[in-house]
Amino acid sequence: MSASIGKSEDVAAQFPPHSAAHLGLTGCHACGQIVAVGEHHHCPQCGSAVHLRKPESLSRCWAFLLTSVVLYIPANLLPIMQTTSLGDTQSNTIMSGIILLWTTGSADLALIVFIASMVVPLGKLLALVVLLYSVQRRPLGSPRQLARLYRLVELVGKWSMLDVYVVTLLATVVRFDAFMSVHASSGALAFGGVVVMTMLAAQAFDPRLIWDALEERGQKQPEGAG
Amino acid sequence: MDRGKQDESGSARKIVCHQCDLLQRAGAVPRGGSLRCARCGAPLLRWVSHSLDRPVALALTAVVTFLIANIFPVMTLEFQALRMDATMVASVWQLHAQGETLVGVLVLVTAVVAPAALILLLLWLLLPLRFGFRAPAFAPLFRLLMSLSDWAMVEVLMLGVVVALVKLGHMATASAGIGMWAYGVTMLLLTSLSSSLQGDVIWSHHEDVMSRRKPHDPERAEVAEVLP
Repeated sequence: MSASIGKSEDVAAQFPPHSAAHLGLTGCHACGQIVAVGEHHHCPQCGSAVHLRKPESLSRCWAFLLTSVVLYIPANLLPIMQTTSLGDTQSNTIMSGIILLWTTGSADLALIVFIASMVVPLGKLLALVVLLYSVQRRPLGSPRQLARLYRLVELVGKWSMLDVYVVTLLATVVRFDAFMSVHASSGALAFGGVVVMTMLAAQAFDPRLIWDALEERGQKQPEGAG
Repeated sequence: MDRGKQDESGSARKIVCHQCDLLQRAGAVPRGGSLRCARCGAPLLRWVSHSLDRPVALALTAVVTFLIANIFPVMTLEFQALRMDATMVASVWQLHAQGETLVGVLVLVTAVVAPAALILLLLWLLLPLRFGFRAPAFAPLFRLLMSLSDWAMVEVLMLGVVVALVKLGHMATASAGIGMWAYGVTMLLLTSLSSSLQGDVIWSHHEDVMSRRKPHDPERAEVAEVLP
């Protein structure tokens, strides 16, 4: 390497020997181009900002994660829609909507909605906590397992939008004035917020930290990293 | 350097895994296959044809199907003599009218704006390349495309329409509209475009076209041997 990146060599030395960061290199997150981070702040090919690791990955991930945990409460307690039928108004939360689907004979669909609206958001929150804990304290699985968990979180994230779309469509077609109508309510906003915040949290998390932590522990004492 | 493509010579090029930062040599990608990271198993490279005809044709078709998907209602509810249609844009407007503007914005972005932008931006980048030149604002629009790609949720909307149809099925006549079928076709087109929507693939197309356009390099020109 040329002497021009001398300043970044100290930084680079902190990274494990097999990583690109150890050589002061990174793969551009947008176009894959290998970039010497000491010489460039932006990818010479596509112009994206380049960093050895996502800046402030852990604190940004925690911030989005905690926001989604807070939003998760109203998302499940507040009604996501209100059905008015002949003057009689019924409020439906996520869970009561699932139970209604189940009791009206669509058990298979109730299961799909249950997975998309209950299992996926809660699973995502737990998975992100597992990933953050593994990087910051003690790994709760092999790095390969954690990497697979991260890919799963990225893959399933958007499916929780299901109920938001359902409410939107119902509120649009069921508008027969006093006879029967469906209104979206504020639970839908909180729920949509959970989906967006968990997606942002997953984007903020840098999966390369899983492998950095592994190498760190390999060189130092076990239980050492904090 | 030829990334994301079949490399006939099989010459190993260096790539960095975006998920674990392992610097590794990538051999030739098997035809129709893909390469995974040696350490964490993340997908690294997919085999892509050099031809731009297929992605351009798919994206042009997607423009048409997505227009249809947004002009016609995705579902219709009939109750006695009454009839209610839902196009996606009308649904967003209805959310706004009910005071849930932010939910409306979320639906608008994920079901209409992001998918439309994905299709149009891909076309903007690839169509000029197909004819041998680089589109204006190539790099900034490429970055916009990359940042939007997570937020298009056409496939989730499809499932949402199905759930809504079933929920209404027992109280009125609910039916899927032309818009839903057009959304379905758009979803399939976007799925088959997914490898063309990868950043490294777009730039390897770019590199292909730009290197072909370079003026003839005299250093490398083959000179006929002068016979004695």
